[in-house]
Amino acid sequence: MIRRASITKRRRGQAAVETMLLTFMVMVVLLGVVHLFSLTWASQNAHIRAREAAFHGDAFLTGTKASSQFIQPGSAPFDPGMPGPGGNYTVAEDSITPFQFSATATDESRDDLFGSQQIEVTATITSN
Amino acid sequence: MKPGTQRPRRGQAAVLIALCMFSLVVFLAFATNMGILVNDKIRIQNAADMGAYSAAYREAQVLNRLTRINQEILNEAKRCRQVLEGRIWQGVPCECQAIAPDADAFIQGCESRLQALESQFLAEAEYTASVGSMLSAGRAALDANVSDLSMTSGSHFFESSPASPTSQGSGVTKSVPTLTTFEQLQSYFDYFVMPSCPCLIGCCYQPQVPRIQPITLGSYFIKPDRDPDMWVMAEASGAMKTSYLDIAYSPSGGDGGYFGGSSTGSDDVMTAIGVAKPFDGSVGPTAQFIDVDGSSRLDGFAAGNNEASPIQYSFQFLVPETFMQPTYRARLAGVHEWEGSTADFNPADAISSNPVGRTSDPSRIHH
Repeated sequence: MIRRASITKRRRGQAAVETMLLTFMVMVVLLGVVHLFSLTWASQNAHIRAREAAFHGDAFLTGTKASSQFIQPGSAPFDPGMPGPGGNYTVAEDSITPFQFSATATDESRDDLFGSQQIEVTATITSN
Repeated sequence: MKPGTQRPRRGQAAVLIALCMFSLVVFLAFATNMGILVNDKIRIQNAADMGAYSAAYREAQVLNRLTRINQEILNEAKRCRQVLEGRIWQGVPCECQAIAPDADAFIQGCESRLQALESQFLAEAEYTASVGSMLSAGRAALDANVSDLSMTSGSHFFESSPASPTSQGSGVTKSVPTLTTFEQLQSYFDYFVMPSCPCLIGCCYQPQVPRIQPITLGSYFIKPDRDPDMWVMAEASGAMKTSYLDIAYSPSGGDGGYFGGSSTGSDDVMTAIGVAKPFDGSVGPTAQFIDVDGSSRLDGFAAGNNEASPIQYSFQFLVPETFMQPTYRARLAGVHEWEGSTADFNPADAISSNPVGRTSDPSRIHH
């Protein structure tokens, strides 16, 4: 009887500890997945902003959590003053001249258990 | 309960936790892998679009340049007609022919200037110069946008596909392979002349008549086809540099797959398609508006030549001039944009008939 009592005593709370540990690990993994989703989301945002800014100009770089740098040597392919159907792109030169339009956009993942990571993307239209 | 029955349970929780841990790590790795895959897919799609756009922008530059040369040809032809129509030319004394040597010599000068401009036009429209420059720009953009992806040699601009406008031979102008097909119009050059015929007092000038027959010279170029027979399609191929849980990972795409699911294909390499085109400009009149058989009329208006007129006048060039607009720019386009249209070249056909690309099934392309 003494032996059985000691065994029973040693087992008290074991399931709770296991459950707690497992729950903690599951929570960490779930939060990790959420964080990965956030990273992918931020990456998509940065890519889309950089891409559209390279095509259209700085207007696409503004928005929530977006900080940006639009690099524009020469004229951008976007010209808001250009009339005509679909015509917000600048007319190309009438000579074979080098060109480069590039835009860099940044976005960051949500600040959670794993911190916040910044993603920087540069999109480049170039002939060089 | 007997004491002996407790013994097998020792370490049971540890095994359970180890199994759970392993499953969770695998799950996390898959999630990470998926994130990297999505990120790389966006990046390579951007690269394909930027590559196609850069090539199309260079094509717009080339077309604007060609339009300028075409304008110079037209201006030269117009200037020549202005000189010819500005005076009454005199025939050779007593030969009684409706030909003026001075005027013919002037027309010869016009011909050499027009031929020089024609040569310049053909040189700049020539395939290696024009499409070569486009593809060079496109490749530079691909490299600039996917520098941290392991790009493969599979990236191309469908220049090997006979159904693509970037292939050699898709455009021919005066037997020269060119960017697209242009057709040169023949313009008539003539003048009023006073023939000199024998008369009682020796030689007498007669009333003015048109030259015996017009001299025909190669003049400005027209584009028989309208857009969209000019577009650039880029296929970017690349592989992730790192991959979790991809046992058979191969950056060269020779084996494996992003999730280790394939050992025979080349699924490590992703492919993205981007299409762009020059638009909103015009090198010259198109067949839709103009009769290209040499008489070149536009809805009854003279557009270069007018056989009903006693001679050809410079104002007849005013109409074709309006069709020369060096205002080409570039825009992104869709793979399926011209399906069902009468376009000479359809991206879906170019994909299907491409001998070197990784993507051969256009129905899988949803860009």
